[in-house]
Amino acid sequence: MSCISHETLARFAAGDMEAADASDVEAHIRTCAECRKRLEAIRKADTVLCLLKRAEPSAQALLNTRRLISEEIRAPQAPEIMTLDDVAEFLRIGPGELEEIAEELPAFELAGEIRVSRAKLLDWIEHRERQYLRQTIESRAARISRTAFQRGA
Amino acid sequence: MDTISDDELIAMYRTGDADAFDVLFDRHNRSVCNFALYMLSDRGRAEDILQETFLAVARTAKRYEPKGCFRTWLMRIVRNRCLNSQEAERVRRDALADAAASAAERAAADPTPEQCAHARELSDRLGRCIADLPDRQREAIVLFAFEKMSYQQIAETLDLPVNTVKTLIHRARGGLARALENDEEITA
Repeated sequence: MSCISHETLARFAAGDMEAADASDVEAHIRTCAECRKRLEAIRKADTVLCLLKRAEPSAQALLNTRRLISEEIRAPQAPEIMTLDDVAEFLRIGPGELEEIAEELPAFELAGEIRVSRAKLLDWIEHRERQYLRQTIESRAARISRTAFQRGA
Repeated sequence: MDTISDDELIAMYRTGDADAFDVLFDRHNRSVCNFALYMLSDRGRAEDILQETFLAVARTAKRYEPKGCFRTWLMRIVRNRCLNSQEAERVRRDALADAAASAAERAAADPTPEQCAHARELSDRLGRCIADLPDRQREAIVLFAFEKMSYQQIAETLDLPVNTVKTLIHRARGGLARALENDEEITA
């Protein structure tokens, strides 16, 4: 039997192997110094893996995040179901600007009135954030490519 | 509050108890930061992800189904945000064709062996080896080693079959052992 791969030995060390296969590996290890060394290295790596400590966020990052979260969760919440005036206030835009985006809003009609669910509005904002991020990345990449090209030329 | 489960805390937060959310933050901020750090190899970006993730959790807590897997749900959010961030970074790097600068940055960030005691040094080395693993193996081994997640939980977090997760982890452990062996041969 030729030498056993690190992956198979790792499987063996974790006990994640059929009994017959494990017996083959055991028999091979008894006669192969190279594979014994490999298995030892795997066990050593496993031991160190168990001892690894998580990286901690910096004190500043924790402070900033706590402050932002506190602002978010302790601020007065908009109602679950919002009128268009609530939406404009929530989005911090005027009625004219709201009209411009009215068709895109996740709104519904209720007894002849337009209403928006806060949860749907948050989803919609998240979708717009992603769209904006993509556009920003693409335009930034295009700008950098152009600059690099001009520099190269 | 230490004995209250994550699901109970989320339920309390949903009914307006802001302090319950603080407990969730205290409980999980290190896991989030650590996972993001290993995915992105960039502390500044990892800390941005920490912020974004908990704000997202605060805003979307209602979407969470309390089935005892808050951590899995949380880590999925972290992962998605890291993947977005990686994509943004990839586009930036492709455009700049600046791989050499990145390698130099990473080398500069490595601590010198003289600064470390043996156990600490081994952990640092292993940490660097983890950072060099292929993406999927790295994600799986970080959740396995640091978060002590089960194969099943990792499979749910990464959206992969359990057997694939097992293979990734065994491959990663094998790869780490091999990297440590090579390291020792070089430094011997």
